[in-house]
Amino acid sequence: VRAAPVDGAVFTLMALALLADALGLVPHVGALAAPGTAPVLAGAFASCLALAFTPRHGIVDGIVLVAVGVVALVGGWAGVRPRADADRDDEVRDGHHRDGTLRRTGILWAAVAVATCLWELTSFVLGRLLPEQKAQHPAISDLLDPALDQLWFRALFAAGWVALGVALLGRGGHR
Amino acid sequence: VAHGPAQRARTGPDCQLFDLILGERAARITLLLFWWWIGWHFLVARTVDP
Repeated sequence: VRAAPVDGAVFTLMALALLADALGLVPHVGALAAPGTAPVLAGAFASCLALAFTPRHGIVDGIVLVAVGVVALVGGWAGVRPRADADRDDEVRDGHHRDGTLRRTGILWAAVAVATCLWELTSFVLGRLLPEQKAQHPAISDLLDPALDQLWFRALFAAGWVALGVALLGRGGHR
Repeated sequence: VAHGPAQRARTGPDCQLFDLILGERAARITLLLFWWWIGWHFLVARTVDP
């Protein structure tokens, strides 16, 4: 199996940070003011262009990923202040929370997520155990890797990835 | 408006669920880290074994 020391270090570091936070060892940081639309769009667009049009696995992709990661994780740690209309959203949500609909929705999504992970894990392990039949048990990485070497798919992937990150950072970082 | 069993089986809007989850720091950081790793894994790191 390929070594992934950076991935392991990042996951371990963030797990330790969250553990320290849960134990109350991390000083409180106030929520950030949400940045304006123009800088977010400019950063997202520039990241997309760089990720799509420079060589894959290259130094530019590395710099973009490190920069985006620092901004996203620092911003995500602090959270953003509630919007003016967030209180009304909270009331609607609390109503759904009380009558159990959010809980059911959560259980369904958790089931989808766990099933997807088990499917991926099964494919990965079968691909390792039966290398001659790997084509019949492809992991997601095996399926996407060749496509990502093509410019049009890499551009699509980069756009989708950046858009998902903006959406994740923009939603619900209050309360 | 649905009544009876149909109403009990109702699920909530997904965006409200995401707002609730992303309001928790640990869940927010976990989801953001997983999203970041997807980009790292497919665009920067060695994606598949040689």
